[in-house]
Amino acid sequence: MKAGRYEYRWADGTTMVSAPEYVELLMNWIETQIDNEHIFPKKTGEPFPPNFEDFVKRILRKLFRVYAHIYHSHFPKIVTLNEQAHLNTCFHRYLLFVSEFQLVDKEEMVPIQKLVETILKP
Amino acid sequence: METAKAWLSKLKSKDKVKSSKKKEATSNVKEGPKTAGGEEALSNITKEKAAAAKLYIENHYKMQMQSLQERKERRKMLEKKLAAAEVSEEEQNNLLKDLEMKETEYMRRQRHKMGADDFEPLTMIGKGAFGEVRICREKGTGNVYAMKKLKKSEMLRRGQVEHVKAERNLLAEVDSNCIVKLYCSFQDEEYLYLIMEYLPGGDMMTLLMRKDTLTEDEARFYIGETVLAIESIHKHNYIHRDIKPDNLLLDKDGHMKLSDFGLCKPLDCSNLQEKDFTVARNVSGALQSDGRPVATRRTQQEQLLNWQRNRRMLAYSTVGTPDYIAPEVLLKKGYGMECDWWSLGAIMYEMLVGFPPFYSDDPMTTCRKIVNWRNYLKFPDEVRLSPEAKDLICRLLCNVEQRLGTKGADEIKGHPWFRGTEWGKLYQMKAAFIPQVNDELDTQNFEKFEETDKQVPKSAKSGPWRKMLSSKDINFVGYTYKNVEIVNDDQIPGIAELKKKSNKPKRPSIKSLFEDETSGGTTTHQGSFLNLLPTQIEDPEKEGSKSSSSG
Repeated sequence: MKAGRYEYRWADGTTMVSAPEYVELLMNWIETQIDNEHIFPKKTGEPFPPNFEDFVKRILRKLFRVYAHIYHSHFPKIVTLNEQAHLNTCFHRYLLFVSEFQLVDKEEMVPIQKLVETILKP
Repeated sequence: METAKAWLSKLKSKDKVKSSKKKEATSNVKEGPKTAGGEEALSNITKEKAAAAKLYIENHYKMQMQSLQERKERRKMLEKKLAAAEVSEEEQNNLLKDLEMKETEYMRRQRHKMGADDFEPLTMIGKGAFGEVRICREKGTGNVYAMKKLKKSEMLRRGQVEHVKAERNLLAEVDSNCIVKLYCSFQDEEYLYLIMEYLPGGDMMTLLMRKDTLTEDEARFYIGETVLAIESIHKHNYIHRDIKPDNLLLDKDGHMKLSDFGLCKPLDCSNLQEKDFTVARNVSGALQSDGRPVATRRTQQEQLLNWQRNRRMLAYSTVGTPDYIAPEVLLKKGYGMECDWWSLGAIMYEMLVGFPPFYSDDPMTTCRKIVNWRNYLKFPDEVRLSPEAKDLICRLLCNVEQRLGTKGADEIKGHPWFRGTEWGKLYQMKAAFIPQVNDELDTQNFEKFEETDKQVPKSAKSGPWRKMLSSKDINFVGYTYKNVEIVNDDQIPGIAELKKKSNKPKRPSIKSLFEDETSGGTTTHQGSFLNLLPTQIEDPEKEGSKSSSSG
């Protein structure tokens, strides 16, 4: 999956897949993480794991790649579908969240750095 | 903002260049106009999916903002009461932390995705064209509910989508003694599910079959509770349209609750046209001129028995009865909330007379009678009704303009037949009949339904939940709902205190933490919090353990 000059591969760089395949794999993986009660407990009083933050960071870092791909490769189509407000709202919220809690490194956001800086500018 | 727009326009132009490059590459690798055409035109599937995604996102943020707002209000309310109660700062902090813990627990429970697999299906207690109602037991808690299962394809085919959504919205919104409680709703590819309160007392239809007729005092009780139920949904701008004895359920103490908003059995009068009624009028005139031959007349008893036989058949079928439907609904010329009061009048007539006012052997004739109600609304000679009862029935079964209730439920409450009725105590007093209920799984008060298709229901969870957001599910975005009973956490002593003060049965929800107190006018705010203090003081060990656990 590409985002401008950058290319993301599945399984930490070992497998090259198309964007739809990458998104499908990623969403399935994220759903598995969230449904895993050892990571996201559901029962009363069950504690979160000590490394819970690591799991969250990994999920959010990978999610960024989907946003980067959409903005780079499909934004005109999004505009044609009159869906840019929805996309921007979701990304805006995502960005404020990961920025507030420092969950994604800035190096990871280079593919759409100008957009990121524009949103985060005080 | 302007810089953002500039950036987006840059991205746009950049993408154009990129797309042109991509096009060249594509043409080099593959030869075919198909690919190029596919890239340029957005397919209908893409448009549908985009529309579904928009709906999903809008609903998601709407729900999120609503939850956030409610949470803020709960905290603000607590802070307000703490300030008024003159509680120590340490105690204030403890109570605020307690609320935070409950809010966290609430959010955690919200994360659990309900599915059909969470429930064990038991006896079927209702059946309709769109699905069925069945007792079920939640596997995790052992609680017993009624699960209503509605087939999506049937909803779409019969144009019932808006009706079902309205029902779900009403049940999620209304918190009333008169309405069956909704605990959660969810969906899979094939079905919509409503997990509702199970009322083991049966329904009014079954009761009337058993009793034939009710006394006026008995009828007054049930009609009174029905008035409160209809008033309740009307206050939320909801029109039921299909109120009938099957939809008036009885709890284990015999009190009535309105239900079955979405399991309508469609009428078999779809080919009704205006000219049919003109013909009916002529026939009516002919009958009158004939002077009604004695041979065609039936006694009240004969009509009652015939009605009961037909009614029993109808209960098992998937075709609904038009007997209680207002003429303006049948004519499909637009209707308002007053159509529900017509239904009330028809039910009252049946309670006192033994069969509906426009009863006939076939639905079409019934519809014609309803539309020409002036010619057909009559009371059998054998029936002994008070003048007030007859008057009320005639004021409900009449034109919209003259119909009682058109300007509100108070018109009906004020009618002489209800003189002496204590409207605020109907649900606290003893019911006219108390149903026999042996245990929580008892279904003796319902009709027995044969399990015609005994095939084991295949697992609803097929594939990730996310995949269910397909084009056909645009109609059902926002259907899922959860009503977490967080107040039932008896381990927290403060909650137990609050629960004890609640004297009337109320749907457990986080809201009731504060509503219970405000509803009890005798309890002062200061008193309620002062009562908590002795508990803390009297348990120094508990306090010690609490501080140690927090540390």
